[in-house]
Amino acid sequence: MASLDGKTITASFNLISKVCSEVDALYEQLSNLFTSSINQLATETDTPWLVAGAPVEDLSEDDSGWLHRDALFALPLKSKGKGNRKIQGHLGFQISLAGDGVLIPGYNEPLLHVFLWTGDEEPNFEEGYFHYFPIPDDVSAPFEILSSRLVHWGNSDGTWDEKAWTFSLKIFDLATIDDLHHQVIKPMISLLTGARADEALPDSLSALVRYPEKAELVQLPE
Amino acid sequence: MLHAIASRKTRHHRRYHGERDGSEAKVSEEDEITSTVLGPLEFMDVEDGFQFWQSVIKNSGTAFSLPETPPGQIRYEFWPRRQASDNSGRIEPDLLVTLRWPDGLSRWLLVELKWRAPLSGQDQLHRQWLSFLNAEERANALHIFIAPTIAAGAEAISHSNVWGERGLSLISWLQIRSTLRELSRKKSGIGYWSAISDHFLEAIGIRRYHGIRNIEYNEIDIPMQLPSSVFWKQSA
Repeated sequence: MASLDGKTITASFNLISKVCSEVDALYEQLSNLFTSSINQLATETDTPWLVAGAPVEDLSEDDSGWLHRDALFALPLKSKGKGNRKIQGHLGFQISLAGDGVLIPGYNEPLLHVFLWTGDEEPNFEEGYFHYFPIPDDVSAPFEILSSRLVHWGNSDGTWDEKAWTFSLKIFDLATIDDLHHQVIKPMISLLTGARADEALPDSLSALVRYPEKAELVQLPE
Repeated sequence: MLHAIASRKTRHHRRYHGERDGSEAKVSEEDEITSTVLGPLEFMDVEDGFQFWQSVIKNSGTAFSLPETPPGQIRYEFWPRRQASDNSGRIEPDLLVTLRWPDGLSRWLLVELKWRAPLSGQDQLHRQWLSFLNAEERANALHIFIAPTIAAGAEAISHSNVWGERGLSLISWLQIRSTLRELSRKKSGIGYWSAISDHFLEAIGIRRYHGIRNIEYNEIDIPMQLPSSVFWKQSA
């Protein structure tokens, strides 16, 4: 085991500081892209849902309370229709730099999870309502992996609020604003408007995470 | 101010990152940023100012458009105050831009800017659109919301869309930077103003994402392996 010295710690912090500055810009840019593209989709097309209020934002902390390892942003959605005020889902993203948010076998690097979750529960770190691995294999929320690239819960032929999904991207391979448009926003909109996993998430997406078999995702990597 | 920041002569802009000296009771960040960035437009040629607004509107993706030829006159009113048409008190948006063409055509841009602060009440933008502008202005106007994050504007639309298909134009400060970068190539006054204002926005925290893979990092900064010092000690 390597011995530690003060200079290494300071050099590491300087590097982390640069990473955080980039991640901050990524978060702000993505939150704006999510907001504007969803807003545009809802104004220009006849979507079955609408944005139901202010976005949900949260940061996770490590055990010391000094470091944020993950951040999430989500827009609450509800079905259109009079008198329907209850939130039925959240569309958003989670940035994970370390910890159980990145523990996908074969990856273990900064990841971006893009998701539509159903139900009225607000995504948050405190109560454990966020993306972490291994994924709980809960009988009340069974999931399947589609085309090695989409985690899918619920009825895939159902209405928008009967299914939930997540795809993940390597943040290291997202380097430009074009990447954010083509690898994050475009697939998100495609999935939201009913495209299949392999249509919305083609092999040409260089940042795309390929999930292992379900059996490997529900247990800790060795 | 723009020049002082560009030449690193001041730390005054740290206040826009939330730093406070403890003696000021109220810091008017929004108004100072509005005045610093958009104020110089009032001193520019009509053609230059028109180019800026034309680019902002085109880049925003709105269906609203301005004529291709520059107007004869552009009038800037910062913080104009009017009695609300529904008698609900006074309304003071951040900026009203009036563009008039020689043939009698007029267009209005109603601008609200935010700097990391919430809207003043859930209906602030709705009141501006419905009760500040008169019917003639509203029929020929675009309402623009500029902020670091545009969520508050989207929330206002989802609460009640009084803007119709023309929409409330949601523009992030980063999009304003993109427009400024485009214009910074111009040789006239607007080119220099765009470059220095783009720099100002970077300095106050409106940063572009460059990718974590492009972080400048020197491998020797972080020694990953134990140096072979034991071996050298033995041979000394």
